[in-house]
Amino acid sequence: MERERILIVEDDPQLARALEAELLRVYDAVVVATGREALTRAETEAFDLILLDLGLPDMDGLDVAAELKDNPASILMLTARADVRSRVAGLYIGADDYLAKPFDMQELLARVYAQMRRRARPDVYTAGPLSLSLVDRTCTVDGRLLELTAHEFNLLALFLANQGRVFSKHTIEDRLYKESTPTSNAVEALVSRLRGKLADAGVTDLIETVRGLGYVTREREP
Amino acid sequence: MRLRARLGLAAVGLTVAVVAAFGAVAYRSFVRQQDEQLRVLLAEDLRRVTALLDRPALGASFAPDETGSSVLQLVTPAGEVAVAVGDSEPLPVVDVPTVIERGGRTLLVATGAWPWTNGSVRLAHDIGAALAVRRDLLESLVAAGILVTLVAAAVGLAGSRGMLTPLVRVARQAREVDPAAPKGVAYDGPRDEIGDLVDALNGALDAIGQRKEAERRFLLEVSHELAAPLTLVNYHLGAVREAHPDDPHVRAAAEGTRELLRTSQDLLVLARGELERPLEPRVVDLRDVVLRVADEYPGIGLDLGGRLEVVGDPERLVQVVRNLVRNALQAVGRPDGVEVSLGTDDDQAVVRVRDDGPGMSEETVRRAFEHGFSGAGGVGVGLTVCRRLVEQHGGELRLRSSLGKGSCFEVRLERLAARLEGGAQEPSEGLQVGGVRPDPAGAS
Repeated sequence: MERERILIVEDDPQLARALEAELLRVYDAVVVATGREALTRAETEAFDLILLDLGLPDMDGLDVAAELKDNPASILMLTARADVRSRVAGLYIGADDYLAKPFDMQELLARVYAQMRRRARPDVYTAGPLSLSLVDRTCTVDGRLLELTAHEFNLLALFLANQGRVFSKHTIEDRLYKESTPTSNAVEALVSRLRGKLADAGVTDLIETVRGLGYVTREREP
Repeated sequence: MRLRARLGLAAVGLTVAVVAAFGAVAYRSFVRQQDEQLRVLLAEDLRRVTALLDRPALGASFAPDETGSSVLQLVTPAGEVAVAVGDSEPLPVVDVPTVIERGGRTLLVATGAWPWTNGSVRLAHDIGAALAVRRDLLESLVAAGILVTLVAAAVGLAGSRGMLTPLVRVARQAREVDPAAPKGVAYDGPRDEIGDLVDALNGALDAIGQRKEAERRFLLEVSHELAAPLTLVNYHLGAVREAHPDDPHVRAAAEGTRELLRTSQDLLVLARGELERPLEPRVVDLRDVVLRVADEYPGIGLDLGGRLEVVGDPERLVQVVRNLVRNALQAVGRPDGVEVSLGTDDDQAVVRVRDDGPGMSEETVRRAFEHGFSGAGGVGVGLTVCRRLVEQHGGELRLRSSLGKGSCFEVRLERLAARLEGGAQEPSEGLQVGGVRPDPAGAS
């Protein structure tokens, strides 16, 4: 199997070398020192992950992230600019995660690993008798087809792909209704309909309500 | 006493004083005029009587009124009452009109010469009716005064309340000022003393806010400058340690640097003043959190029990438990003196980090969470960070400790079970959620 590729965008040469040395143990890593170079490389080569320092000599790291928004690579931001606004802005622009300097190398490796694992999304999720295929967009319970609308399917996929994460109604709205603005209780109604269909098929408690926060599908003990 | 009550009292006091002064002046002036009138009347009557006695004119008469309210006496030089009308008991001789009491009556007496004799004419008017009018007037004045005072009190209280409302509003806002980010209070009243007070208050808050911001920026700058070199030193020392696992100097240097790194991470959390990632709450099994920390500090005691879930940020919860364990290790000096246990208390999940170290004095316990305070046992930034993070999770950090008995920190967080609608339910058996990895060959 091919090694996953990482683009390291870091202008501090010593830190860049250290990152490269560590990441090269597991991944294929390339180092660039400027935002321009990063954009050029990202355009011409395929990377799985871009490790992006926010403080670059030629460009603001946030602008680099904005231009990389449509790049299929995950973005992990490194920042010493310990400013909450830039963090939130970073996530908003499209960074998948970030890590503040100073960091422990083990911590960074764990984050990189987590990103890589997230990229390796399965095509089919199963939960007991339930099976959700992202390839042909079908949902079956005990082999019987369960009819779901597009929104219901996407919602179920969202929960199964992010087990343990608590989704607020607002976040679900953002994820599901990209173009249109739904009515105020659309998410609640959608969750309720999906739960109803799942319950009719014999699957209960898959989506739980956390008071004051939202909905969650818990990770099950292996 | 409240300012409002004082203002109300002042209004009442002022009213009483003004009403009393006006009443007294009016009453006195009335009394003086009435006195004057009575005296003039008496003198006039006396003049008429003596004139009549002096030169009796035909048809002229002097008749004391029929009500018997006057007394006329002609008294011989020997002191005998020769003629008496109204009362025969001799009236006293007076130089000027004088008030006397007699037989339950109040008389105004005047004395004149009896013409052609050495005797005297004594005339008295009963002034009881006039005095009654005076009393009535006084009563009316007092009643009116009381009424006016009551009205003034009510108006004064209401008025002072109205005047103080802006002050009360300002005070309420001032109480709600967030010490972490002080903002000025809103005030749209006139530029009076209250306006000045608000300006001064807002000026002070603004200055404090700017100072805080400057301090925060300084802390950020410092942490920022230290960040990259610290990352590198920590990394390289880690590598050196791997190469020389038995060298005690290398080990000490690597561990010290790691602590330095953690501390500067804590400082950054404090400097930012908020949770780094409030965006993604997760269901976290506290056992995983404790196990991650236990991996970093081998040898500490564990008592974990079953799955114990809360909602939070796993990285931050690890930071909390790690700080508490570090703290305990610093107090004890050996890992087997530290134990981390998990338990529940009603709706709360409790992480206990206990050590059998020297413990803390009452004073140290009391000040343990003060920002920057460092007492015995390395209490300081780390604990402040812990408490902030726990509070940001809606939980509570407690400390029990006494000298010679060790310390026990408790992190209390609401259990997921208590937050789930429909009550606590363990995930059903047989509902394993698994995944099938994409087939690399089939995907291309």
